[in-house]
Amino acid sequence: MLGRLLRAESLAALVLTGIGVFVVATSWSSASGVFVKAGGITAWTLPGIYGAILVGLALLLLTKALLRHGGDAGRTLDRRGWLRVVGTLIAAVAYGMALTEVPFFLSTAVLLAALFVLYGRRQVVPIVVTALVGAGVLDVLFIRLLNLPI
Amino acid sequence: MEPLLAGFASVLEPFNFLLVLGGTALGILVGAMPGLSSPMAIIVLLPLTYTMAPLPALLAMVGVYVGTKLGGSFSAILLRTPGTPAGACTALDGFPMAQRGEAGRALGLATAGSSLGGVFGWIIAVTFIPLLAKIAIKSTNADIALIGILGLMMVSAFVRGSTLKGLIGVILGLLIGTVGLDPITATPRFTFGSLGLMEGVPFAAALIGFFGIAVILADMDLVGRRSELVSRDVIVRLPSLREIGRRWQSVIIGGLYGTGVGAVPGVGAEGATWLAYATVRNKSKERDKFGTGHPDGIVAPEATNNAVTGGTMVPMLTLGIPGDGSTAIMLGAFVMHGIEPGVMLMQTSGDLVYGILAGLLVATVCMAVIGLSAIRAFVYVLTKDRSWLFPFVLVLATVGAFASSNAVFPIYIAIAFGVVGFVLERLGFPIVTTVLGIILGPVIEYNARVALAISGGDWGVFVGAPHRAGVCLLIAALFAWEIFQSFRTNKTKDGGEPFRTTEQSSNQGG
Repeated sequence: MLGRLLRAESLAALVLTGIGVFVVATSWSSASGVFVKAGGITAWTLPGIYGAILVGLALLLLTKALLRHGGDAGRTLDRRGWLRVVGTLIAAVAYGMALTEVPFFLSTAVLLAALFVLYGRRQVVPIVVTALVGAGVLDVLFIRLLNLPI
Repeated sequence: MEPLLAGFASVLEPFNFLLVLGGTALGILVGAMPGLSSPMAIIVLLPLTYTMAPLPALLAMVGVYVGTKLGGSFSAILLRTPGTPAGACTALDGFPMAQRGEAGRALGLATAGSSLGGVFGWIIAVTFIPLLAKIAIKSTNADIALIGILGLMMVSAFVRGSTLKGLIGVILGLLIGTVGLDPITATPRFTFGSLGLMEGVPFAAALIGFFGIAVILADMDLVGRRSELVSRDVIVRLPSLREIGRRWQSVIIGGLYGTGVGAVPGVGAEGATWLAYATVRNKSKERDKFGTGHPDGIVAPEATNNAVTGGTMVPMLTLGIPGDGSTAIMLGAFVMHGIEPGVMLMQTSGDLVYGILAGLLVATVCMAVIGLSAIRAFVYVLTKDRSWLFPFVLVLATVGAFASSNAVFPIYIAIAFGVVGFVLERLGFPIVTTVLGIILGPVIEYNARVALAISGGDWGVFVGAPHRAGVCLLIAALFAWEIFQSFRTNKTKDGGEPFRTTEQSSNQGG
């Protein structure tokens, strides 16, 4: 039973149940202090209803996951795939932070080159040329032509 | 007729025409590449369209939308790996035909079927949208709220995969839609003290996260892979008029399924193509030859696939309810350009509606011309792996999030939604239901609360008229059926299809 509870789908159901309970509790406590009503309901009525439905559906999902035999369905990623996922996210956050601090051309060229390497490219010249040309085209498009305030 | 002609005049202006042309070419390219979807291509276009007027921006998106439908069949025929879920059916007969050395004929049949189906869908859309808009304009707030809920129920009922997960996705979307200031009393909800969330979750950023970043993360297993084509030397051979004449039943059946199913919010093209294929096969005297490269097995799903584009326009332009993921982003583009989609759209922005409809036909014609003339370029791209492409998509997605409000905050929202979308996708939750929940949630809430306010808090307003009671019954029946389905079997609805498409797995919706 513990094994089934620890399966991805069961964990997802537990998390969703937690979110639903949080929404219901927040709606309940917030609604009690609200006196502005339109049509007999407050701003927290519908979120509360959604939260309650979510709890019900998530518990149903949990029940199904616990009763089901066999593993979780779905696509699998190998270790390198997961490394690429994490690397992509780190690169995206870093790029977002750099966007307003570093010139667009520079930050974009570095990001492109880093991602090419992350995705398995190893030839230096194509990486550098594609990153520089790509960043240049995007710079002309977004900064010179569209005047984005980056 | 005059507004439609004016629409054509607008679309055929050089700048607008170039956008339709470019959008369609991009669409075919993206559709042909397994792993890339129509919503993702439209997301990539977003930062380029912010500064445009609404019509040119939407024309480029319509071009992409139409183009992806044909592009999906290229990879289905040449790789046996459909670029889009709807293309999976085409592979059944397209690939065997290509294997026996008739790839050009298969591509020609697909192009002809797509074009004729697209025109069929367009005729239906142009006929019915003005009529339905006249009826829709009489809708009350209670009607709109109920139609919104019905749309969400249909989305989760017919979406690929688990209905229970579809329902959960809808509720998650509805909850995300409640973040920010409440539309009636301006009470902050779930903002956690963040000023950036006061106006709600940035819509464009959420879409970019779900359809851009999440797709890149989900398709990491495609990076570094090359595809083997059944034939590299491809010259498209269009079917003769006589052959097209012999396939008229496939076009009509495909067109009817495409427009009919496409008009049901959230259902999209993939289910319709299989229905059309099965119907045509069952009616055929040569049913044994289906699956071995029968021309009707290519024409019918392709006609269906493109007829859907007309069908999905009907709920989008008359009710403000998207038919699939791509039209959901188009609705978002309406909002970003300060146009409120919904029952009043035809009255307030009729020129825009007719411009989009004219653009749909022009894009269909462009699709046929580009598909035939540039097939070699698409075949070249088909064999390339994604390691050169995904970094550019990530840059465009990030810039798109930034440009949505010229701030860094939406970038982080997009990344967060990308992670959420990636996790949901891996767990088999259909992302498109969550997106539609986010879009329709505020519409449902606003109209439901206004209806309650007008009726003095009487919930009976939602069943007070026969048609509303009927809709309520339908909603309840669909909900009960979905719960029953989730109890009945663990088998997902996608069982039995012989092809895996990356987009299918991603549950993006067309």
